[in-house]
Amino acid sequence: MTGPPAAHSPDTELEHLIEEEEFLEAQPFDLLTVPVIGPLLRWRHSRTFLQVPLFVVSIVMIFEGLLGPTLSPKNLATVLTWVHFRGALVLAILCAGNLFCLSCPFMLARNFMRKWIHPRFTWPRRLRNKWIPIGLFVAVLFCYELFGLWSSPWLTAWVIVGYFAAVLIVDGLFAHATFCKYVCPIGQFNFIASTASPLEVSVRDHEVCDGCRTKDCIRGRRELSSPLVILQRGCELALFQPAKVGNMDCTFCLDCVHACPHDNVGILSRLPGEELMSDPNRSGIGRFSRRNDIAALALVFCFGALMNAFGMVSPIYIVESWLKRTLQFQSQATALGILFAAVIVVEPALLLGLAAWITHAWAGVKNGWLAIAVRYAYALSPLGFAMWLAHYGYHFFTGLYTIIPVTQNAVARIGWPILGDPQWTLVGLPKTVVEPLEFGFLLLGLAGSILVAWRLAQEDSEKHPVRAFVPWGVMCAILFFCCVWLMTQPMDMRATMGAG
Amino acid sequence: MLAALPLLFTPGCRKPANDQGDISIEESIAPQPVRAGTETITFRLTNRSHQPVAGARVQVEGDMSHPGMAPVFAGAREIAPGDYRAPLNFSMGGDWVILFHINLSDGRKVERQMDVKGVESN
Repeated sequence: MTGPPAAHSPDTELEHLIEEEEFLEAQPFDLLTVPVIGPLLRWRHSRTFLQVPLFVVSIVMIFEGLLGPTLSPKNLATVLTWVHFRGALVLAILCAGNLFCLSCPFMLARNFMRKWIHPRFTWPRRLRNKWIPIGLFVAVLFCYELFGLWSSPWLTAWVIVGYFAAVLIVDGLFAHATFCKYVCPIGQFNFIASTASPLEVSVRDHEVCDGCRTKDCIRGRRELSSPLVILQRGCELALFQPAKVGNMDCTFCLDCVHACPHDNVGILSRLPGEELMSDPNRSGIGRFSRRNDIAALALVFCFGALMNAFGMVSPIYIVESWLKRTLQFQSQATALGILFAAVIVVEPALLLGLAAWITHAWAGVKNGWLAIAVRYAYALSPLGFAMWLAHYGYHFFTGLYTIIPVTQNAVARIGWPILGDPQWTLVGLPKTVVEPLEFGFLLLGLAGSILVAWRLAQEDSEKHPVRAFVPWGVMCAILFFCCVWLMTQPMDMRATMGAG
Repeated sequence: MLAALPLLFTPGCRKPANDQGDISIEESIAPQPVRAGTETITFRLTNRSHQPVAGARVQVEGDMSHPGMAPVFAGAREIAPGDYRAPLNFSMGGDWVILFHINLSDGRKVERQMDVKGVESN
């Protein structure tokens, strides 16, 4: 990106005006220039302003989950967590970006703690990858199914308490944003999902950065007389703005926006999924093709979406019963473990292994099969995101109004019935409206995945891009039909631990 | 402080969902196995001395175990003194919780709960 062309010749004023207009038209949309929203986000305390309401809601959810109604559909903790929060999170990622991390209530507690407790350690080098959060992400999905977390306000409240505790312990011991970057499973979900977002925090003009000597966006803005005093911290996730690419690892905290002395960082529009179509060296991350852990995260994200939806439809109980009969066991955890291993480990290994082998053998791509699989694993992110969107969006839209009677009930229970009697018949949008949306999301995801795979194939094989693409295109199509099949199955929501 | 939190909020501190009072409910659902669609819930209300409780107005509410789903409602009809019947439309498969909202003839209100696990999809 370059600055607006300078007008050197007065004779060509008209040309200059046209050029300037073209330049302005070529500039991406910048959320920070939007009236009201822009000034709000640029305000130094904007993040705290957004975090406080979510923090208050989190505390209410904890108390409501522990002390409120035991019936999940009547409890604020379960309704907000499993219907509204999840749906709002993926819709925000689809429409804007990683807004949940921006307003993360856990980070508010952590920042408050760090006013008094200064971490003494740095996260061990060998753990500076995504393997721990991948394990936690799978563990959360597994526990969600096994214990039917959605059906238990009490367990839901403890998940929130556990999250606060984990944040305070990890970031109380380790410097920078260790929890966000190396531990948080929600964060990793948001990072990989927001590769499909239309907005990213990015440099407006790289020439300005070329002339920058202070690098405040990463070092933090320091006091001139005392450079050890940080007035505004820089990026805690080690993303150096001029070399940052895309949304991976970006929490949208806007520290870089506040730190930049040249006002050169914006929230800019881009083509969703664009960052997956190339493999540059990314600040704080390196090359995607060399990050087996992030590729694994993309796969768990995609196949975890299938598994999570599979846990909510009838066929899972047929498969579980068959497994128990065939392998002669009764344990629900074992049956679920086998299913998780099959869907999240075996299935992607077989599909990606086969597709990579065909790409290698048929298109003549020189890399080994593992390197090819790692490179193309990212192409599945848009489809995986679409599946999460279809699933969570379904619950969000069909249960949209359930928050009203649950809130009425909660307020009435504390002896203050100002909202009236709970209107339990208020539910949400009809399925006839929501189902086309779901399939629209899935089609968008398929288009995104195919586009990414095609662009990677074009880069990999100038001679035979079609041959390089076909295995991945076929795999995307197979996964798309799996998604469609899942969404058309009758819902059958059981807390599997208690199921027979 | 965090370590002490579990002591404050153990499940034992909570009000039981189904306090017994002096009204007992004995419920059944047919046909078995329960499938999505309309099923008949039959229940008997008795008092502490095991006498049938007649003349109650009962509304039956079915909720999914998952939040965000539409509850279903049905009014119960008294088919014999103390015996009631309600047709309830299970709109989908899964785990359901049935709530009996009971208005006794003496004006008292009682609520009872019944779990229906594993309603099969059609």
